[in-house]
Amino acid sequence: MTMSLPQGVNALVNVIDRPIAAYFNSCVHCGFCAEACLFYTETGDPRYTPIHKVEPLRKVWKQNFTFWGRLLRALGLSKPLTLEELKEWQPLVYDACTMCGRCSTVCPLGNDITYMIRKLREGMVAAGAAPEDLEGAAFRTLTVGSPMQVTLETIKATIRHTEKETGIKVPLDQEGAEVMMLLSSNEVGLYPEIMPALARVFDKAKVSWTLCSTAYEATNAGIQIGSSDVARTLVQRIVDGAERLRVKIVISPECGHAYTALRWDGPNLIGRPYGFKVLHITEFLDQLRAEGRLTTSGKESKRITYHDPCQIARRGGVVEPPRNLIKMVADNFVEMDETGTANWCCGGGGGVSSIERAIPLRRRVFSKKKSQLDAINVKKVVTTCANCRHMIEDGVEYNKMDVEVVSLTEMLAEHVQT
Amino acid sequence: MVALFVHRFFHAVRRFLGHSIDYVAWFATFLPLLTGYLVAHSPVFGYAMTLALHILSFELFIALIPFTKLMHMFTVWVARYTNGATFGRKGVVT
Repeated sequence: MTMSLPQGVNALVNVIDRPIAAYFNSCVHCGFCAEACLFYTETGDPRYTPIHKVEPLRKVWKQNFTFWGRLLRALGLSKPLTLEELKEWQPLVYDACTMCGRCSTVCPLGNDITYMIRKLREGMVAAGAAPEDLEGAAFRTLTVGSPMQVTLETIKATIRHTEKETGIKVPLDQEGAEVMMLLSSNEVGLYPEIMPALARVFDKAKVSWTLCSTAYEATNAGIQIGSSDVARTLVQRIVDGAERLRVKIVISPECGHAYTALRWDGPNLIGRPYGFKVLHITEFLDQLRAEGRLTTSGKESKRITYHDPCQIARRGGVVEPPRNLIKMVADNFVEMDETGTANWCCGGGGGVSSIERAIPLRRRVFSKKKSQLDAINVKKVVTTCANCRHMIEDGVEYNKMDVEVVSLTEMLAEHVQT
Repeated sequence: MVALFVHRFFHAVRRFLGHSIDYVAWFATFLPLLTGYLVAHSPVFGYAMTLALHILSFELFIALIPFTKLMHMFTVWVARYTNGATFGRKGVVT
């Protein structure tokens, strides 16, 4: 991957499609999006206004696609975009945006600002102005197979531990299985309990499932950094694996951007529809529940709430399934004030959690989630994204809060009758 | 409208976002309103002249549409349609 400023500008000119031109033309600078962004509400800094974060893209649009911009450019009166300018915007475009999509839902003109950020990141990557941390993560996914260096050997070791612990066989490369389960490296690396939990739940519901040796990683660093090439390669890997094993359903794990990448962006990236269905793990488990195949025993009486991962709820459309599942095993379920498609981000999505420099900022904006949790006084937060879980745990520890953060699949596994 | 103008001027985010062309658009919208009021209630430059100013100011408004953010009157439908269609396809209700 070669990178240079002209390539970056060229990439930006190319990403400006009909929606983006309409979005820039429509923006009346009303600033509503600022109030929807936790980086603005928690810091009060106008630079964090979502539409301002895409300023370099606006500049390219103006200079290439508008009357005044072209006139000034022809007269040599406008300053072209510089590499310094792109690098100056890097902290706004990468550190201070989790692509949570809240701004896109409040814009009175209907501008999908998150989509614009995603497209601006394409140009940043091509110009070599993306953060090194994310470039590293994307590179590792291409070479090693996972952003966190989870190799096939790591997966095999986890399978062995799981089989020993649960006494349940974990199928690898089982051709003709009904579903293929993907994992996120965050889960395997930080929460190894996830595989035994999946094994227990699937065993109980008698699901014919398998893992795949050539496609076990669901995390798509290409989507986060903003490189369609990388994103396409990673999606293709999963599609090839699923077609080799002839599965009917591919399950995206508890990970936010993995779902967006595979379920919504994937077919567009590879340019054809899949021969299989993609479901988020909670959608699949909710189907099992509705079919009566998933039964649980016992209920938790602690006050429990659910944190909607942005990519699953607001940008994914999965809002009800996790709630149905939680209510199976919890008596005292309460909602946060703004939830579902209006939820507030944990502060670390969209690649932010991979950027070391961004740690102080994301801890600062965690105050949003903290105040939401404090207001309903819960002792336990359930979520369905390993990255959200990691970020909330970090925030809870940092703020010395007495809150436990758990994965929905793991919580269900504890209640599955064996 | 005046209130919105003042608000834009004093609100940190809005002043930060505003470009000179936004203020041009504001004046282009405000002038027909002002001259229209004058025609009806106190034609200060004589009725015909004030009416002429009113018509001219509105022509200015129309002429400026393609060159300013007044274009959002048309592009807003494209934008809302695209965003709505995307969200709708994913089954997201907001």
